[in-house]
Amino acid sequence: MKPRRITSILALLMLCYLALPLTGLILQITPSDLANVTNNSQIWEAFKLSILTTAVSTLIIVLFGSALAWRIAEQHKRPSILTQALIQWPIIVPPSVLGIALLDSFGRQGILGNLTGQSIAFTTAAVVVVQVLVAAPLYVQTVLASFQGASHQLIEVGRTMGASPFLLLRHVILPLHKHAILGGAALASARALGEFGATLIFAGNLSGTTQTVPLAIYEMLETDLNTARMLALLLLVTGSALVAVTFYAGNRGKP
Amino acid sequence: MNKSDLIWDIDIRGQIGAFEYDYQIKSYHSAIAVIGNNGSGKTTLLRILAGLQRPSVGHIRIGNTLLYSEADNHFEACEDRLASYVPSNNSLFPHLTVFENLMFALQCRNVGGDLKTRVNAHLNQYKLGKLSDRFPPSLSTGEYQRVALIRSTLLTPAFYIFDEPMAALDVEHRATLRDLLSNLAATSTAPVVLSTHDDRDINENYGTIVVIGSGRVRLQLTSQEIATCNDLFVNEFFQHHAVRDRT
Repeated sequence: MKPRRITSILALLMLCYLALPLTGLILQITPSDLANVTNNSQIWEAFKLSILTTAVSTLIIVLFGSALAWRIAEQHKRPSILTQALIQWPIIVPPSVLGIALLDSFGRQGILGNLTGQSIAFTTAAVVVVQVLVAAPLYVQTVLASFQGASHQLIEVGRTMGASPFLLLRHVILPLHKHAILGGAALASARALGEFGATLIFAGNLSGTTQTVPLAIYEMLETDLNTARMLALLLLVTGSALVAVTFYAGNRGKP
Repeated sequence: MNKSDLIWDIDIRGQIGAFEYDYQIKSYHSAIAVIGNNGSGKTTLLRILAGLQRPSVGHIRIGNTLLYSEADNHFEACEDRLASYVPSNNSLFPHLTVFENLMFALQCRNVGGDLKTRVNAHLNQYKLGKLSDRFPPSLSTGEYQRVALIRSTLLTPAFYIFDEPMAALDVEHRATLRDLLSNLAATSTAPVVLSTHDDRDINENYGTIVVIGSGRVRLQLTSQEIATCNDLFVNEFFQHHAVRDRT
């Protein structure tokens, strides 16, 4: 067999494998499941909480993550190993490790807990803290790639023209990087929306307070499998919409 | 000539990463040219003049304006120098049309009046009106640099800085831009500094030629002195040069 044919077969198998779970999920859902979902108040609580926490964490990520990426890009060189490790470790380590690490830093016995005497574990704020940790790296990496482009010279030209920082931000920096910012924010919010493992450990699974959609799915797997499936589909559609935004922004960003 | 006629008075030292520099230039000529190999420190000098880098020691005076003086702890920020700075590439805002690029230059300086008419008149004066609605990435390199140059002449600056503006151009466009720059060097009331690594970019309109090597000013010559200069780099640089032939 020719190498080209072999890669074609492997590629096709990979595609089929990627499509199979999606198909399985969609085929198991019936119209009556939809009615169950709309009548279930716990589901709507979880959905509202997911949307609210994801929105807050995305805003935090965009604000602080943009500043971090900007500072790194300004160095005009590859970030140090330490910096790279700091902005990537939450992607690499398992969610359970993140959960324990958060308990040890923000929990009652953690560094900040000991200092302040307060713990935010098992609160809605804890859900946001987890989401920011897991999703910020995706945002920072996306906008960093864009910030490291040619824009610094343009900003310098703008400065020599006498442009104020506000004028530069509004007319140069934001327009030049809006696709990366939008795409990065969509990617980060998709990740935040789907966060499960570390949230379970650090924030718990309290309906109305910390139970987001992924945690509600987890709970319903034992009691109501069909509703769990419907919720999974809801999450899938929302996540896909966000990924579509990323894709759109990525393509628009190309010259 | 007395000291007050000195137009370029530069005496600075400093370091950027591992690159050390030491520039001393004194010239009574309004237009000067900076030559040197790639990596010799031409761009560093010009960026310092633009206010994008701050030296550690020394002073910079251009015309009557003191831009930097370590002794007086004075450093004029690049936003306040009112210089026109054109780097060798990538100086037009890619998301703005040619027209908007020029408009932005006026907005940065808070210029009042009918800006649109002013920009259009300027574009037409240089026969670039047809490019008005085009975005920079769609321009040819020749068109791109012409737009960058004429944007720099939209307002009369305190001084002009051209950092190898013709480096990326083919022969034909190079000649057009060279004439435009040479004309500016001859007629502008504002001082002009041009860096280049092509001898044909320089003519007698550039009164002083500064030779840079390894972050230092190796030589400073008038255009008349080029013919008699024994420096190997200068001789090779100007081996088929108009200034040398005429003098």
